[in-house]
Amino acid sequence: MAKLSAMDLKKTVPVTIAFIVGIFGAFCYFVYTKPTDDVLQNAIVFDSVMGSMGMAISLINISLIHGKNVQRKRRGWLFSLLILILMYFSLVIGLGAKKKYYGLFDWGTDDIGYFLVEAIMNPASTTVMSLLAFYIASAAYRSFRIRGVDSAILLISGSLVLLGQAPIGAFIFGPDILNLRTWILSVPNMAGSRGCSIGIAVGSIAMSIRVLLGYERKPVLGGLG
Amino acid sequence: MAVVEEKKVGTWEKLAAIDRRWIYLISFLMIAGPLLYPINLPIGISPETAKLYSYIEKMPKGSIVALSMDFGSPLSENYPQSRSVFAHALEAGMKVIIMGMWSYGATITSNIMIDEIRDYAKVKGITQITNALAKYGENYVNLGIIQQSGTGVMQMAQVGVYPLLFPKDNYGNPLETLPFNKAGKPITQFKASDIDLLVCFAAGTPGIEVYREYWWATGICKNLAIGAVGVSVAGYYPAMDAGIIIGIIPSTRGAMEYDQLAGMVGASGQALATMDAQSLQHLFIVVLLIVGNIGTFAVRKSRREV
Repeated sequence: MAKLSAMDLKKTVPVTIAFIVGIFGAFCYFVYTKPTDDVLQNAIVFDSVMGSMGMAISLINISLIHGKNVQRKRRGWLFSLLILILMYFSLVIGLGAKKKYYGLFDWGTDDIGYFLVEAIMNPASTTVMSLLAFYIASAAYRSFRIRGVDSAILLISGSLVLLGQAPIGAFIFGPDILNLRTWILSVPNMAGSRGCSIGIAVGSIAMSIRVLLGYERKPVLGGLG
Repeated sequence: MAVVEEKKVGTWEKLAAIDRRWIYLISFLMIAGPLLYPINLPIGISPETAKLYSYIEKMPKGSIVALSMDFGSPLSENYPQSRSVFAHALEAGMKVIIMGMWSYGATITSNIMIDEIRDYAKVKGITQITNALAKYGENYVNLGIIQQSGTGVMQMAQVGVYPLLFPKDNYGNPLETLPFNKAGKPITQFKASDIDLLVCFAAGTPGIEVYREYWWATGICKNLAIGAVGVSVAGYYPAMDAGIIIGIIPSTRGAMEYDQLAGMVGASGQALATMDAQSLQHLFIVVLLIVGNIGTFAVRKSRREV
């Protein structure tokens, strides 16, 4: 009997675990029994714990990757340094928060945390999002050109929804534009959207079965797959 | 004669290819102008917003309304929506649970929302809201972030909110010390099935899909509604028409509509100021589309003639 090599075990064991857990989860979803449900509920809690562990692993991973970038002065190493400084600074702020806010050291750094979010994070993220107003105007102008019946339908329906979405539409064309906008979104949009949703759902089921049966190994084994 | 024709083509070509810097400049004026000098255009009511409003109005007093703050900044589109629904739910006598899968929305932004609605109610003299907000832990609780988003939401459905998911609220109070209850059932025994309505204010993922998957599809909580951002709102209409979602608050405009329905104009805060800017920018985009296409047609026609 041929012995399993270490690499074989590395591949076989995770796929087997994924298969057993996946089949068990599917069984519990469709067939209710008290013992299996208890196990499933514990598994959900275990999933939470694993997720928290994942945060710790990601902290180590980011430190290793960007630490190497800084150490070897690779291209863009200053950005890596910035990431490391900000990440550990935020970590210290969080750990120094009051104990009732889950801090460890009770240094009262909550105010600094609030300041960072209110004065830097919020304005910065909103500024980036606000740029969309400019880019969308420019992109719509350059790309929405009528080249056939399809693009004409898209252009007209898009314009109606755009006008119906803001008060100016009802101001110019009357309240009926609101109903027209809702009809476009609820009927033709729904028809297309449902087709996509059903297609994605069937594809997801097929993909899940392939993962459970071990035909698709990447999601379980990553680089070893 | 030939020179005149060349000039005509040049003009149309210019219309079909306006320099993007002009577009940016006019966009800036269209947005900044109404923010500085509001026009106050009248706002109609969308049926999808009215559906959610009517649903809350018909709920018995003391029902549990959960707000899932799945967005970040209080400067986002979702924030005015959350303010409007929070104010209305308190005014209608509901008990409100605030939580969320996005860390900023669930923790910091939710605190800002509570403070601003408290000030708004005081200024407007809405005693129902002022009284409700005076009793934290009885009429409303702020549970903070749902750890591990999807898993946490599933845990809420299967295991409950306590003790693993929310041992303390957003302010560090142990959950067992809060008097919040539903007909005598304490919050520590709450599961997703005890929530009578969940309104998810979603800027992206994780958002309403998580609740659809773990609450609606499993039959644990069938009463979901969404406050959606403008770019993603179209994707939720099929779910509303299929009966999965009770109602939709579409973008900032929806927040303004909700205020009007609830008779609390201004509850959504800065939404009023942004609506005129949005209106003019939308109109500008439509004008750009028309101009661009006229230019393209004219250029094609002149090329065919040549």
